[in-house]
Amino acid sequence: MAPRTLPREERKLFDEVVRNFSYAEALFEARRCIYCYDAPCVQGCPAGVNVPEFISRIKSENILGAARIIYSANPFGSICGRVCPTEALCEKACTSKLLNAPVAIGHLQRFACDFALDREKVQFAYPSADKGAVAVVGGGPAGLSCAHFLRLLGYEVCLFEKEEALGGLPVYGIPGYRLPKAAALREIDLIASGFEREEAVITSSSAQEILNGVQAVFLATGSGVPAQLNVPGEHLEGVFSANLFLKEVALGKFDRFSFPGKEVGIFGAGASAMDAARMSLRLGADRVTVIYRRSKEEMPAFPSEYEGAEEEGVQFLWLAAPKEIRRVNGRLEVLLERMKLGAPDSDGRRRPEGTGQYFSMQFGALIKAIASVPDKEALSIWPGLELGKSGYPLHDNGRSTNPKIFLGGDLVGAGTVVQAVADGKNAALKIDQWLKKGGA
Amino acid sequence: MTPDLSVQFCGIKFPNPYILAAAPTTDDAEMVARALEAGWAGAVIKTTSVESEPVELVYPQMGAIEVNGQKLVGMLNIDLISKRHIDQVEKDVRYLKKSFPQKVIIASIMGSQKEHWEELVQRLEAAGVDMIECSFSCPHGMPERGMGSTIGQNPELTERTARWVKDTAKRAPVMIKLTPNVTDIVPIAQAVKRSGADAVCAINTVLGLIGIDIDTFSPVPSVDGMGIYGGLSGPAIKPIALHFVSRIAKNVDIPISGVGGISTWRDAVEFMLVGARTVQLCTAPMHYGFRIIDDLLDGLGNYLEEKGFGSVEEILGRSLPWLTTYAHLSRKHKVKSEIDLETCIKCDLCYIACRDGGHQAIELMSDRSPKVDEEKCVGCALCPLICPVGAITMKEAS
Repeated sequence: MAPRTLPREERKLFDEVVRNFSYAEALFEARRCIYCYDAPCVQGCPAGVNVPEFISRIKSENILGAARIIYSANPFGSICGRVCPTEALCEKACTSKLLNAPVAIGHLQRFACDFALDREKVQFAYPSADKGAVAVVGGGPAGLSCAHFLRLLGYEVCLFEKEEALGGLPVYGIPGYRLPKAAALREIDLIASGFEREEAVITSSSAQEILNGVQAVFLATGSGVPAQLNVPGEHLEGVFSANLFLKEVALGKFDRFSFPGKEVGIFGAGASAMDAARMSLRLGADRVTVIYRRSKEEMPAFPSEYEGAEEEGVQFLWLAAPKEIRRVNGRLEVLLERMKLGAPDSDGRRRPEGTGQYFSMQFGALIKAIASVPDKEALSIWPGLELGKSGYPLHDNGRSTNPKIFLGGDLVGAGTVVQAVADGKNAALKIDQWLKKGGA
Repeated sequence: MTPDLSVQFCGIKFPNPYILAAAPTTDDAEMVARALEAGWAGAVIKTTSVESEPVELVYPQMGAIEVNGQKLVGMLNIDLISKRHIDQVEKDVRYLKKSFPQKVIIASIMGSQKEHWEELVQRLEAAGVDMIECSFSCPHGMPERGMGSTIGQNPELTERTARWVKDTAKRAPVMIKLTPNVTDIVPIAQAVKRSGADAVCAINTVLGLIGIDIDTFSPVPSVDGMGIYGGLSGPAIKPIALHFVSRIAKNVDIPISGVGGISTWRDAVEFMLVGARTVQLCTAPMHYGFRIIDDLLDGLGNYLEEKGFGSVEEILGRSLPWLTTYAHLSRKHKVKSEIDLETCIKCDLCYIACRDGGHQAIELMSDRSPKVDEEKCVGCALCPLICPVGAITMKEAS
């Protein structure tokens, strides 16, 4: 059962679109779970949440028990309940799919976690930190998750984050209508209560100092640098990166994005493209068009993200690639090449090829949401950390080329909050195992 | 050809076997009229008494068992007989008989002394009632006053009271409603037979405690904090009722009106297969309304047609010869579970049930599909009961 959503006409800037299940709705949905043995949904969850157990606790109206099961595997339970692409993870594997429809696992997770959070019944019992110190660099889901599990394992943690607020993408990137800031901060603040936090931009010397002062470092600084279109005119005024756009809007700085009556073009068709498109509509854009060089089939956005955008009236222009952006009479004119699909490339998606046919479209603003990559310069300060050609650090299952530095999150291509949480958890376990064996 | 759904019961022709039991659904002539209009064959008007009999009800009166979201799997009440005395029920009977001459109007009565039983019968017959049901079976409230199941738990009291009624009744057949709250129902049914009464109705509600409110510690239903044992009805008591009905049918030669947990035409067919001539419903229409009669009739007709029966009469008691004793069950009969992997959804509930509640006879393959180990499978038939998609059947072993 899908939960009710806020009617379209009532959707303001940050109003959460998907409503929480009511108590009765949650029970109704939980009862659809057939409580499989060795349930495939658990394998479908990167964080390994014991789904059938938490759902059976909802069934027995032991909601706090359900929340405890979720939190034992994922300290971002409520956040992930909202933003996980469940249709590609736990729910994809749900056995009930073969009966009628998968159980709404994500919504049930949110229900149980919010139930416990509302009653202030979520506490993490961090033991005394007597196993030595580990530094965590980056306060997004991967870093916070690693810090959380390291603290549970008894390590002292110092976390470095350059932004004022902890949380990373859930706070600065995911729009409030999918994840209200207050909802994100409830869990982030609980986790952050467990360790020391430094608000600092790390330099070469401080990196060395940190490495010397701790037993291991977990690096999870994300991939926040927007990729370029590499076409003339992409730096003109009125052309924004999705990262910057979403972050500024999250911080309440709307002045630069006055879209009323404007037509907005979005390049790319991933999660941030969908978010930028829907946010543009909320900022008053008259028409928003997502422009993608491949077709709907190859689009990286998850179905729920695409459906959300489509439902709100976002238009899609498939098989078109920008070649040049010009300012014409105060508007941005994009020269687009009509594309066609060729042979599959290394990731199995069909590669777009130019057709030599061109056409132009005019927009009031443009947002680039094609991809983002790690900050090479910021990574170069870490001794012994080798980067690959693409700018991502080389690693073997989260182990970098410096044995003392562990990696996770978007730095190793996590792509989702839940995968970042899983990376952080796995890194904490690996660090613990490595240090138990003597470490460096 | 459309099967004939009518049945003969105590010399009365019922257009179909479905009767509304004495209950809140029949405590008002207008309600009964709507039910008869909807298609019910008849109704037992809620139990009445002489004007001098005090009936003081308490509220709330109901509690229920809910199983994984299914409401009213079992319902318990601490209601009593009707507050409406014989003077009002006489009027109801007259009105209903006039409005529905083809339908069967049954009155249910309860008395605390011989004269009351006799007066009730005389006045109801004068009003034109088709049949009289006597409640010897109410399990709560009335027994404290020597009424209800106090009578139905004792063969002598049953025979004596039933005889008072039967001897008074000049025209209307008499049916005695029995309580399941006895160690053996056969001597009670035999007592009814000896009294000369025409039929039994089995069963009334099962004495129970539906639950405790774990927040307030009060029994459910809680009357200002206090509670009592009450009468359990609904699907949960169907196996108990089937047991009693079949036991009476096998041991006593007396027509039976079956009642207890009937919700669907399938339940009704089962009751008739073990000897009930008519069936009574209470909890199901209280839950879903009189409209359920449409499917009760339609499903029964389709069933009979599909099985090649021309009438309801042909199925009555048909399963009784196959009810036996343990000593007579075959030791040679061997069955094994068989799993249809085309239907299986790999939830592996059969695996865990067999592992922890059976004989460890189901293995899991690497793709999570279950496989029966025929050496270990004893044929207990737990797994087909658990399978949510009906992929498991019991096959005769060679």
